[in-house]
Amino acid sequence: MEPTKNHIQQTMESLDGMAQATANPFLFDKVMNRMRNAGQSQMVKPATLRMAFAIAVVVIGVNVFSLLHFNSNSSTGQSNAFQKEYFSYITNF
Amino acid sequence: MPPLCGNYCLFIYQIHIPIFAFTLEGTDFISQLREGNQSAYKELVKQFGNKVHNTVIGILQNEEDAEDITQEVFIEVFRSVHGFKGESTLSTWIYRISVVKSLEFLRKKKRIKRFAIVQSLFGMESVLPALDKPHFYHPGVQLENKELSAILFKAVDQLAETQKTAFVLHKVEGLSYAEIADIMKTSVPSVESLMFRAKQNLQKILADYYNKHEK
Repeated sequence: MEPTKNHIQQTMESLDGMAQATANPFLFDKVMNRMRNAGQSQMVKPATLRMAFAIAVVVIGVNVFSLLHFNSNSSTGQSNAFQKEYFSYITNF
Repeated sequence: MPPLCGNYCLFIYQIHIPIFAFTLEGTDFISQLREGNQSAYKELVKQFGNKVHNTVIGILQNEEDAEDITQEVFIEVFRSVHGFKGESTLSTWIYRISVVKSLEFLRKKKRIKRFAIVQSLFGMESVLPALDKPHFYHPGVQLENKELSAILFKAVDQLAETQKTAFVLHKVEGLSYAEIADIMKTSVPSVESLMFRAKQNLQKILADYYNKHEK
């Protein structure tokens, strides 16, 4: 048992008098590079988000417009007449 | 011409004194950091680079990961210096960010490892990370202690997060219990208790290790 105790003691003391690990000498430049890159990607992000939002608004707008337009027209006799004429044109053709 | 030289030297001395007496804890320095002054950033990295790297490498036990997280720590410091209220010293605040970032990274790594194990159990293709961590040799350890310190670091890796943090800050970074208490937002007796338990657990882990390896 004694050798184990000695080993443990020696191992526990193995960090005594250790020196500090030194950082990369180009740490500052690397940090600045990463910050610049992160800044650029952040600049791109809102633009793409805005574009996606604009497309979504246009698509939803067209859908809502067509839904309201065709719904309101479908009940009128004018559209029925148009439908009849249109379909008769197709069948006669 | 001694008088002229004397004046000149004094002139140089007067010019340089404010630069050398640049107190990193001063409000001027912090306001310069807040304004995004590059030379203040550079000075901060120069003063704290080794401290942050040494702390991070002690917790992560991997040189490449430590370099990456050290950079992240400084990015976080520069980004959030506006929110630094000065309730603690700049040094304490930076150490705190270093510890938090390192522990977050370890947790993320463990999650990925667990997920990979689960995937491999279900026969899904995944790159299983090495389960047995290779020995870590801290670059600051004396040559004659290299092997023993590698065994100790492996044991330290098995400690609970708080015990590991206190042990690394004290033994690797050489901070006092009072400084560690500030960083961990706890009391000095709590740090003493953490260190006591850390040492007890390390002795148990090492006893198991030597019992296995001596048979």
